[in-house]
Amino acid sequence: MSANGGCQMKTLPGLILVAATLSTSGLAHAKSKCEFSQNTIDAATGERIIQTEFDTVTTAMSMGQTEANGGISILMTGGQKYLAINFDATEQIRLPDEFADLPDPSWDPKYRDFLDRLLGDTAIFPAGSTARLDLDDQTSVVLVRDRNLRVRTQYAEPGQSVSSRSSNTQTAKKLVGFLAKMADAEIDVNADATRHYTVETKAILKYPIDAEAEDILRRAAVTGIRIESRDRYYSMMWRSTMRQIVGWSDKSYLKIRDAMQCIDEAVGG
Amino acid sequence: MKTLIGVLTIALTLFSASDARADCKYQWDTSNYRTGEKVLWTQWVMNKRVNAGLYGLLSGVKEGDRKYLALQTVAFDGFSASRPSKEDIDSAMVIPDNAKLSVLLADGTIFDLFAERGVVGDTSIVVNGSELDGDFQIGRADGYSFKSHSIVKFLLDDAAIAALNAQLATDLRLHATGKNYDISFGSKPSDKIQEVLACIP
Repeated sequence: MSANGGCQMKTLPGLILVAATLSTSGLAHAKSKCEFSQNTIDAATGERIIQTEFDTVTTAMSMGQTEANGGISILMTGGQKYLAINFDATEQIRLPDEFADLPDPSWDPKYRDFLDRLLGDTAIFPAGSTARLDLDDQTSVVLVRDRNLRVRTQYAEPGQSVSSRSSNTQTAKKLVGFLAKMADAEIDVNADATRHYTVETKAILKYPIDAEAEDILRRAAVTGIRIESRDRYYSMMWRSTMRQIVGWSDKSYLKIRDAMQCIDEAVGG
Repeated sequence: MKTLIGVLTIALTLFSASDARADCKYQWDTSNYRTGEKVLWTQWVMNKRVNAGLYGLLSGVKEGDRKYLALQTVAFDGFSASRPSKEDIDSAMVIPDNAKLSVLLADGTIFDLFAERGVVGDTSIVVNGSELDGDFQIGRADGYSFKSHSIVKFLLDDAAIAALNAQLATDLRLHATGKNYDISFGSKPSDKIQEVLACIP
């Protein structure tokens, strides 16, 4: 009896382990299931519109001036697929020297022009501008915008931050590490901070996917995106360090492929 | 007896070859999505940095049957007191088609490799030295600097592989549009090129 009981006791944890493993794999499977932000029929045109939920892409680090956070999604409307990028970039703009020593530069019309440019210059994505998707085979796919987009930006004055940035935990963690490095290097961060405006650009950018790109993106691992605006390029987490290239995290490589497959399944279904 | 020695010699040779290959690490091991060709890039090997703001990394590449030496260049140069234009960014690092990579060998001779395709380097802006990379401060304290990054592949034929394996190298010079990037292996000749070549299967 005791032997049988012992055997049962040994079996029970084993069964629990198996059940837990199955449950965990089920959870993992559930997480990989497709989620859609819209799946509807346009009442006016009768066309089906399907879009996957935005999926955040991440990297190990980001401290450049025109690097963007965000997520990716695939949208299909009227039979055309688009890569949609939920894009959030920050850039540091240095206060020009001519205003640096003024006690209150807001009286200077040129200063007001400078502020206007902060809002006006950094957020135009013209038709013909590109998104270059870098692949793990060390080639790239280039998508081209088919329409103009002008995006409203926000800026924060020197020493202040755009409110949404301060609530971004990931950015805050990076900032802590960055400040520690600056302190180690004995660089006076505060001195610089008094000269920099922070400009934040948020946009949802859509790029039509042509047949060749569609074929590749169904199979490819994407390691980073470089987005072109009228005046800038924004890296969605592509940079090199001294010893290695850091792109998206491994977990993000297949997110575009997975989203493409979700659309295919939805259309097929 | 001779046969036994021969067999042992072959076995030892094979063992040491596989042992050397076992030390090789690969950054990318995949297939080209367009051609289906096998693509293999060794882990990047860094040159010794001698000038602040410029460093290079090497990788041995195999694509299909072709072999390449790839050079990754990261340069912090250019300066602008005002916000740089897009044209400034686009022209910061331009490596033309058929660009030359000169390898200075230990005996003082130069061996040239040529790029299959040119690239425009990816350039980002660094404001007031506000970016740190490793233990180096980048940029200057009174304006905008450029950080440019490129990866260029140089085709290797049998003669090139033999020449580069025959001697150690001391310096590299990448001939870009309007400027050259000089990357040194340091005070002593280096076997870094041979190291990556040995890992190209």
